[in-house]
Amino acid sequence: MGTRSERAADGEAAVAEDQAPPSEPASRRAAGGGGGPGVFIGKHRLAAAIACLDQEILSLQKELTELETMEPSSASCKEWVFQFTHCSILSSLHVCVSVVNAQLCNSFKNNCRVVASTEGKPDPLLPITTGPENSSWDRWFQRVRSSRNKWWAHKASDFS
Amino acid sequence: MSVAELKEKHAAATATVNSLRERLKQRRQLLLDTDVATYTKNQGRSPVNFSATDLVCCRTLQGHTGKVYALDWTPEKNWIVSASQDGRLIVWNALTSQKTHAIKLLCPWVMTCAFAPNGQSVACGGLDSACSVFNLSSQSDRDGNIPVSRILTGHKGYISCCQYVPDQETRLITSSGDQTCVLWDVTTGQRISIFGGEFPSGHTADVLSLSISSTNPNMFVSGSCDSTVRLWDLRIASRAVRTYHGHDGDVNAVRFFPDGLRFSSGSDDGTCRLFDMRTGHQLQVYARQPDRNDDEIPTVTSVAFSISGRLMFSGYSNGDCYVWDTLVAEVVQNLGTLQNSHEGRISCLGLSGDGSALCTGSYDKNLKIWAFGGQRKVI
Repeated sequence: MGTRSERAADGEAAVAEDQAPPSEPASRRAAGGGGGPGVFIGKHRLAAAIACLDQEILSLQKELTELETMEPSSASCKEWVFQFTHCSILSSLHVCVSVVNAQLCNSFKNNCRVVASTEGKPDPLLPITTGPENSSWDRWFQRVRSSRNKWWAHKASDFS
Repeated sequence: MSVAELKEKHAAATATVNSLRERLKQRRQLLLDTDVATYTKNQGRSPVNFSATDLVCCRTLQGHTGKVYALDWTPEKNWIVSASQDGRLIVWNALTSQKTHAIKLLCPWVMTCAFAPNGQSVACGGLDSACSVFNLSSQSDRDGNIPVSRILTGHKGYISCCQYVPDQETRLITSSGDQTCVLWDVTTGQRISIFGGEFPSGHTADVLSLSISSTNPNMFVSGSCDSTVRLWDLRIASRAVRTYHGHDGDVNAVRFFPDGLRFSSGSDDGTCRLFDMRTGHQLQVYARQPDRNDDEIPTVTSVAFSISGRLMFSGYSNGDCYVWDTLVAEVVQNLGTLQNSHEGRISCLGLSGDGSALCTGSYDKNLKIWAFGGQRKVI
């Protein structure tokens, strides 16, 4: 049972013991088809269910067709890893985006544009990261004044 | 057409759907010729190297008297809102550890909370099947409680997760045990769109988690007890854009990668998985090494990425908090084994807006702030 649905079940059980429960339906798992044997399903609901299934069939057929011409996962992996490596070098060379747009092919442009928001981005939690460094990153280790008390903590590097 | 004929047609359509799903599954399997870790290792790439004292717990936020279930940061400031089994939301200044607000909830069975983008409101939801919104500027009553400013009702099941649409204080998405997600107008309290439910391609079991893309806020993903993740377009509620298969258990957590083109999911099957949003390919499985001490496989409760995406943080039911090198799929640190770590299940985690700190919430009733305290090299 899922952790959040476990919590929901635990909460419901505790509520039943302590107080009048808030009204909520019991959670149920995928049954792969809806009601069990013996459940009466009217004509109109059956027709609606069939219409839904027909929509699903069209969608699945469309996805199957899409897969026939889709590149394998290696292409997606290559694209993603490329973004983490080559484009971060470009961003550190301060290449003008307009120059990139004018001179490079579409997929490379797209990769670089995306990487501007990923590995090219300075990451305060990495031991080695691109710049610029922001002094506020280390505010968690600086002396803090509060109305009630003073708190500070040392960075590990302060003791080295 | 008679009922008997309709039933026959229904059975035939169901069989066709099942057959197509099986073909899709097999075709996708054929397209999985490698994963990210194999590809990067072939390039000779090494994992991120942390020393034992690089990532440190620099704050412990104490105040809840029950398990912490959820947390959320403000986008720009150092504030965190947390939700607990004690029936309260607490708003913290994470830098000073001070509590700025403690909100006693009408329904104590809260499961999720979220900060509005402007940091002036918080939302929460749980077993009451409603999402409550509180304006932090509101005047408290005699007991010190903030009155609720809006209650979003309409779900027919518990609220498992809620998140504001980035940069929009008036729009919020919820996920629910009623198998749907809903986009709300917080100002009017009205449902704008319902994702799933009676429409085809919706989840077929409780929805447990959601994540909105920060680069394209019209797109969000949801994780469910039906073991799938589904991608939705806010502008097209009639059907899911794509369904991602792979997990063998409830999907408890989903989170977009910073570029908005991939996302990670965490599940009861003990793994995290990275998917390519556009193609549907499963790019990587992040699986724990089997541990002799584990009676059963610890489940993944929460996931988050560092601001660059190079690190992925995943919380587990046994108190572990793995730091994965996303590219090489190796665990580079376990916050659960460090000094001052939590003493119970990690239930939630999230990064500060500038990526300088990670907050973890736990069944040990505490929240902890983790930051990089080592020698940083800037290139």
